Amino acid sequence: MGKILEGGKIDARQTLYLLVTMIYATLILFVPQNTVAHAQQDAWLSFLVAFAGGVLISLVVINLSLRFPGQTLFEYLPRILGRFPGKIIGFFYVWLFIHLCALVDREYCSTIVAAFMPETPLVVFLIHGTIMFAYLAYSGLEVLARLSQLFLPLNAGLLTILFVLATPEMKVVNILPVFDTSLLSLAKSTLTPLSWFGEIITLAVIIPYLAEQKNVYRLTIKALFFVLVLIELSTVGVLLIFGPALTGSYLFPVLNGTKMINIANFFERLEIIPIVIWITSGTVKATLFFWAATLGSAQLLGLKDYHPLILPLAVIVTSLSYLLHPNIIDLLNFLTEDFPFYALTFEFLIPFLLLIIVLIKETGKK
Amino acid sequence: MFDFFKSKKTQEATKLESPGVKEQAWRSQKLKTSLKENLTTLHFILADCSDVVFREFNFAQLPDIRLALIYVDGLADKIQVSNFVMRTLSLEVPPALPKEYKISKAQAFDFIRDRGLCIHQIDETDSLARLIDAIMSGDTVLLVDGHARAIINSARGWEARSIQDSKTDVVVRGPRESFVETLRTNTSLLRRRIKNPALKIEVRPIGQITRTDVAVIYIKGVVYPGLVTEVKERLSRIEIDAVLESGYLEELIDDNPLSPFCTINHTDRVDKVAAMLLEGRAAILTDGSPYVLTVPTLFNEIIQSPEDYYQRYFFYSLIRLIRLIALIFFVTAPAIYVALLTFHQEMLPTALLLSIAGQREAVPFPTIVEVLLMDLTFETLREAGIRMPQPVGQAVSIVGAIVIGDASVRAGLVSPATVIAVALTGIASFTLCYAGTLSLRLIRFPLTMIAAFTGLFGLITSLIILITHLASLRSFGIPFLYPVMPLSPAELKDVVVRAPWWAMLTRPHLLGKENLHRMKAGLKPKPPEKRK
Amino acid sequence: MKQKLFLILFLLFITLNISGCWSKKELNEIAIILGTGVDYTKDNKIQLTYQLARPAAFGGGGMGGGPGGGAAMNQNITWVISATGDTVFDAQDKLSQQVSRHLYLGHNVVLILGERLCRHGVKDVNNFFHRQPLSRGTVWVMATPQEAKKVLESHSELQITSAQAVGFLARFRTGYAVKFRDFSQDLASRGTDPVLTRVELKNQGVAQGPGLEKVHHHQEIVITGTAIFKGDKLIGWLDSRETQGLRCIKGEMHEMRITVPSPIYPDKNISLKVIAGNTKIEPAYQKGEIKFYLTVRAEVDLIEQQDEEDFTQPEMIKIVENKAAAEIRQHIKTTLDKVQGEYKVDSFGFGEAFHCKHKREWSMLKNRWDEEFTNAQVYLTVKVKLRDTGMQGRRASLKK
Repeated sequence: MGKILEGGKIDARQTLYLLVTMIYATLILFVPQNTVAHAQQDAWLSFLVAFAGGVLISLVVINLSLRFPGQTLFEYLPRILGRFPGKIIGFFYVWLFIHLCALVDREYCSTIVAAFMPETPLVVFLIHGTIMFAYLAYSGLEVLARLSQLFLPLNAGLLTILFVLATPEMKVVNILPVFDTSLLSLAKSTLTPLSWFGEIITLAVIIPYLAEQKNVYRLTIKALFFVLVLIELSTVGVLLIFGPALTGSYLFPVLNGTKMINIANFFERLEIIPIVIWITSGTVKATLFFWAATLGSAQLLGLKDYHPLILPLAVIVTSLSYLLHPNIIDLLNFLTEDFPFYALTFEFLIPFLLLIIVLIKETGKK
Repeated sequence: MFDFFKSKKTQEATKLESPGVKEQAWRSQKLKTSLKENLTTLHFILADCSDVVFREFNFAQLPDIRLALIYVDGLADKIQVSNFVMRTLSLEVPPALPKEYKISKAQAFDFIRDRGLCIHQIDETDSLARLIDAIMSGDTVLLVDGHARAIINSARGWEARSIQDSKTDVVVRGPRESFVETLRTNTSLLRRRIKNPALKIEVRPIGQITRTDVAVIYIKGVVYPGLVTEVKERLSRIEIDAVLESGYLEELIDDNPLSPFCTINHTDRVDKVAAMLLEGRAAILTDGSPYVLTVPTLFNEIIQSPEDYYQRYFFYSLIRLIRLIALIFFVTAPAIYVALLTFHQEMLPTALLLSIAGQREAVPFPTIVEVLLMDLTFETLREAGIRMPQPVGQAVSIVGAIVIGDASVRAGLVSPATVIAVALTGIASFTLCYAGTLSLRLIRFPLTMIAAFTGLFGLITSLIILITHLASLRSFGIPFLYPVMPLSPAELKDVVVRAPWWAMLTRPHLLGKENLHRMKAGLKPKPPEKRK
Repeated sequence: MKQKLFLILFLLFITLNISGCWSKKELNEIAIILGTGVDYTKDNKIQLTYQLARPAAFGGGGMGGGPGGGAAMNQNITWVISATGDTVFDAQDKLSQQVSRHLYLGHNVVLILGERLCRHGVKDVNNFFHRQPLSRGTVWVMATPQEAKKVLESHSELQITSAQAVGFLARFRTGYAVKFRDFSQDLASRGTDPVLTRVELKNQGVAQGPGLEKVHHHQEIVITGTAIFKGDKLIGWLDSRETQGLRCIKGEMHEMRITVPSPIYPDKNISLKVIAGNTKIEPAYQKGEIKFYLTVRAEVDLIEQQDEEDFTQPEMIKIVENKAAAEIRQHIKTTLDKVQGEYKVDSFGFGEAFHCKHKREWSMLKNRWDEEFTNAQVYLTVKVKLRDTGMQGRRASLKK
């Protein structure tokens, strides 16, 4: 049916690693602060809720995708909705991926600028990032999956090491009492992580490139669970170190938490570890969205190859991420206030409606 | 100026004509019946080749059967030729024959071939090209008058270097022999290690002028399926005038010609090549070079040494880890040093920072200049150490150590910390497989510079790009970074550690899938009562 | 096409790198700040004091300076500078005009706040240290009854700089040490009022050496107790003895020394060292009355005895354990009386403990917690266990 634009195939383990890296990358960057600001010491609870929501979303997305074997979201959208409306929705998704990529790019570069190199213009890092993920997208999905196979174990290991090293600074009283948050603020705090878990929608583009598709459900839930473990590790870690008030006030609590580590007056100043975690995982994440956007637009436009689109789209992403938000506070506000509703529309509402349409069509045929 | 924007068509190279072929019209010719004619042709072809010997004599004292021996002086074993070809044919044949037995001119060729020669390996041909090739590679050719065929006597014997210790892969425990320049000796070395008919050695000449023998060696039933065909096809594509070293071939059959990384490893250790073959790889031997190419190559070979497999596994697993750290250190140490000192001083422990700051106080250069200066000096010294005639080598290292290490610090040109950082990098590189470190030595410099301009952020992004590049490389179909990317956790037993032999049950899964199992399971030594 | 794309990307990458040196600071372009002091001047301005390390004094191999570690005499190791301004940054701005290098806060060890500032309220200044990307939560925060500037204008005999010396003092828990993180957390919390380590510059010991024929009186920064805050304002001090009580309540008894009178010989003493200890606060809320049950457990080692109590007798150990418990109880009582009774603040985290146990009631009480706490009853249980007796069982001179 569809032209094979992307030649690579990825196996189950690679998919798992790729999905985990895709979600947790920025999750541990901005989300702990925001979630803690709303849910206080019960932030770990909101991640559990968000995880459940993420599983629901992934079930919808996978169920939908498996109904069209060998096709990406962009290919089966016209088949469900008809050629013209399908393509329009398809372009909305391309926009979503471009936007997500721009956001990830911006988040990382803002972090670097704010935390390490305040004198350097943001745009320098943006271009740096763009070159990187353009090159990665050029190498294709297979290489990206391989990268995540190196980075995820590395990052999970480093994160655990950080957690262990920081234990002398932790106080259990900081996350007590449990269930102290009102249901409303808990729900509010769940939205942002949920929209992150919802990025599992990218699976709708990846699924056709899986070597075997029978275990996708288990695989995805495993991936989401692993993300949950990582985010709980980092959020509970910073909560134990700082308590809810300070965690909610820091822009990058994981970084501040790392700064607290001091073992024997020598194992200290380990900020390089969060930078490594952020940049490596963020690169994979941004690239995956970028790849999805390029592949999607190539498929919608009926091109034989998506590589020529990389450069123009990279330029668009860079300018978008530079222009969208004037400062980091605006970015944060967007991510916490508006983004969840905007993202969840694409991540849950549309796939859900699509699934219903497909189901109605199928029963109609019978 | 913007040459690279131009269409490629304008730059398309003129199709390479086979070099040297033009004047060699005789390559397609066949031998004639008349010895005289043949000799005239040969004299013409071999004109001005003063080392070629033409020797005419009569067979068995029979005046009507003229024979001619042609060989290259110095390549052919003269004693064999005189004793077992000339002496036998001219003197020893007549007394051995019954008196009434007459050899006619027409029978002579078959008689000589079947009964007259005391040479262990003979061959016959009617092609002039094959004949010339045989002469040139040291065989002795016998022409018989009245026959359009020639007998090729394999009586080679020339001066060659004897088998010595490996110069590049040094081990404390393990076989010492290494390959030499003679292809046949080399194949014999391999055959002695793998005494099995499954060890296949396929030879082909490459190089229109040099006619270098190149052997593709593999173990049938073990080698990665399709690999041999692919290797042979890539070799047969080569049309070049000369192959003087395996390096020529390496670049001509490489998967990634534009990459700074070499995806074909080389070694001169016999045991290493044998081990490679047993893992499902193929080896390419080149006549005239002791360095053998092994394909496919994986990046992890850089931290492997043959000795790992001969010594106790506990310690050598630790050594593997040390090499892994050394590898990371080797590539990134100067870059991290520069990044930390110029951008991220907050990441150094206070006491260390104060100490380094104190050292650097009077140094007139920026850190990056200091590091690059020392790094370049180090590379220069290393190069000088290799090129220097042996007796002077000692002097170089002494001068290097004193001048660079001590004097420059005393003069306040560089800080001691920089010397330590660069020296550690250098030391780290020596723990790795030499062949693999060459491209990494190069990568170190741009990395250091990027670190000096954009700090750790730039360093990490460059490293990601570097790793992406490595991850996208393939060597004869096998991903270069296998088994790390794509990850195959079970395979890490021979990468980050060296598993004991009784636990290395399988060959690398991707390479050895043709014949996966190396040994019986459960070979871990047990006390007698538990044995069955 | 592939090569072209690669080349373009590569060129862009290189160009970007070449031009990107904005944040670059060579080591000899930064002035490393080791100690920071903030004072509130008489004319209501903020006075910022930095103790800067002078790297040349830290010795480079063969460069003439003293070899690492100690600096030679008559050589300045640090440079203490100060300026006043409306905000901390304003003051720093003035300083940076006087210093030939970038002021580098990344290695600040200690932040000392003067008494006038503490009484006025520290909220005005601590935000600067939160927003600074280079500042850390591990900085030791201290308050001094003297002027912070005067305290920083000192040097240490053992350590290279006085800032590092006082940092080590805090690290080795000679008093109640407070990190910037703890201080900020307590400031933000409703259930705990902040405390700070109290430091003073005091005549301390006599420096001796072959070159020091003239006896040289030396001033060193020492930890002399704790500063008690109500909200962000200083309201009183605890001396070293009362600080011990504070440490007991906070459960940070490690390395604390207790001296108890001998149970047998009236005017002799026994010294004990706390090896491990913890404190549990159990709040109870009954009919509007707040009660706290404080359980302190400590494991101690016998360090010194003045007379000949026989510690091979289990009863003797019991008796000494009880004596030690009584001593700790006394410490706690004194501190509680002073903090809860006199200063009327909750410096101990009783409020947090109450919050954990009684979430509902807390939401009503949290806004007037200090008043509520003043009326709360605290019941004490102290359990001490003697673990080891050092390298000796019983005294050699003890007659059987």
